[in-house]
Amino acid sequence: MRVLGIETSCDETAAAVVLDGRDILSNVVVSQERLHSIYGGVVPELACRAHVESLLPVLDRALSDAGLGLDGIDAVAVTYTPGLVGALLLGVAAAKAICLARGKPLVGVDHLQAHIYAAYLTPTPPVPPHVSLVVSGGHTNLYLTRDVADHELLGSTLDDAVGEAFDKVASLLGLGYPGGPRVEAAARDGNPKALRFPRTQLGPGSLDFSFSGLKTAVLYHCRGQNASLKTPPRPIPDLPDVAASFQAAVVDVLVARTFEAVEARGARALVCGGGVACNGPLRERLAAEGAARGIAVHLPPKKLCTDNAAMVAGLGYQLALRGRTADLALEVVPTS
Amino acid sequence: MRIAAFETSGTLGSVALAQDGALVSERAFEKGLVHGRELLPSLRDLVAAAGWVIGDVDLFAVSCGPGSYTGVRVGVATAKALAWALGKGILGVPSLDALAENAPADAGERVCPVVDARWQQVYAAVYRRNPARDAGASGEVRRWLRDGELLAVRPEELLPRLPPGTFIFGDGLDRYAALFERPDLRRGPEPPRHARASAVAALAWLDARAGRRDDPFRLVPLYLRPTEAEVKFGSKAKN
Repeated sequence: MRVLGIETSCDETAAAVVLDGRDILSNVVVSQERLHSIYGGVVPELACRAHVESLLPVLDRALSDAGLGLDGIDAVAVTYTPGLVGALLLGVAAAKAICLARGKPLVGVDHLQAHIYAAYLTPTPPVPPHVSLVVSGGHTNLYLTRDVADHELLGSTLDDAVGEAFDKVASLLGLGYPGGPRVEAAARDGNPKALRFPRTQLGPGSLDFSFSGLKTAVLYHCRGQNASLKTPPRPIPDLPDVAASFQAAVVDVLVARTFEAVEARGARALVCGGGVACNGPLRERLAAEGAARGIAVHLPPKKLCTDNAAMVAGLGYQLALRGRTADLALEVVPTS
Repeated sequence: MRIAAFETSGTLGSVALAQDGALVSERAFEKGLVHGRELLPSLRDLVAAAGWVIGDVDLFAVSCGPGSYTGVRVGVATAKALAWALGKGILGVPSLDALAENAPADAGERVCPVVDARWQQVYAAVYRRNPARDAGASGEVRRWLRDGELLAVRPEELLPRLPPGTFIFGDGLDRYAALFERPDLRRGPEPPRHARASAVAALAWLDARAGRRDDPFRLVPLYLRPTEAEVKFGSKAKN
């Protein structure tokens, strides 16, 4: 079964064709990163304007890269939650239109579950049950995955998402947007042990996260005693150490909670997905901890961690197999 | 020629089918921003009720703004994807052109629909009566011809553009009622305030017969103004 996937939940317009939930026949992503960078974050109205322009070129390319016409497509899967409402609406409108036009089944896909499914598009897919960590600009969620379409939420962030914390600290340090890769790059020349930023633990047994205290600690460190300053004076003399120490604190917290979840649920495998799963130190630490504990750690390649439609098409296939198709009245759900 | 038309620029959306210039059917959604949910099921139902299949539609006509950014985009994205998936034509019709069609028969020589655009602005355009239509070419030509551009302006900037005797109507007048109380402007019993998909279909038919088509890859909504973020960033950059 060949599934056309469509993804427009945030600032990437993406379409892909995946065969039987495993083989990626095409994977097209048009990123709007440059469009939003001067604003220091995603501007929803700009994102939506770009989506409506990119939709058809991206769809057309996804089919031609796969060497197919719409006749060769058996179902259309689309992200309907969570994300920017105006952006989700556009992918869903296009998906419904294609389904009505060509008599194809429609499948609504949860973007966060799709991030987990990215690991199933690799040569050695995980075997459920496993723990799943989804880390992105909008989410920091831990799940117990019993099946690719059955996830129990174990914990999530009570304030900033981890990607948001990277963006805010990057902005504080004058590194620009997007924060994740910029902080990681700055941290390469720094000492992760130079500064001891807080690792927030929310009560015994809690698998939730909190990053706002960490972000504030970085601010206090950089502006020193001068509380009237909203942004620290530049240049920041120990910027690489600040970046490296902040990143180390984030990674420590993510890795600690994740393996607590693995232990609590007796899981034998772990999946990490989402844009922040591109972070090098996070990948290394998860892999090392997993190896030390005999836990299989599945980290999708970076281009499947950032937003893409292959993961949507792949999960869409699994949902279709389970009879979980949608009808033309499918509504978007901006918050999960 | 069979046309399917969408109007989603305001709070009352609708879908219509027309054949060779004659309205076949029309369905309005419940009021509110429910276009995303209602549009495709309504189209499916109307097509089935007309005894058509979706592939019978030759042209998808869509109200392409100005209006609710999100609403217009849902209509435009839907029409683009339908035209692309079926290899059929697409035509964008300005929402104000369709709204002008709501003006009453006795509206006089000039009409101006005025739509609340928020940010202390209105969307508006001035239309003059087409003499050719009255000369007997009924239904063959547009009833109203647009004079000048589609505008997104402060109401104070619109006023000097309104010739004496212009019939004004629309929800943009509510917030600025006092401003528009000029003795030489005409008001009447308020015509319907929402553009109709049937009008979009009718105008698209006239344009399509004249050979006009849009490229589904290039058609974009008529926003008429930059985003709030761009405006704020621009003024910050100047300071």
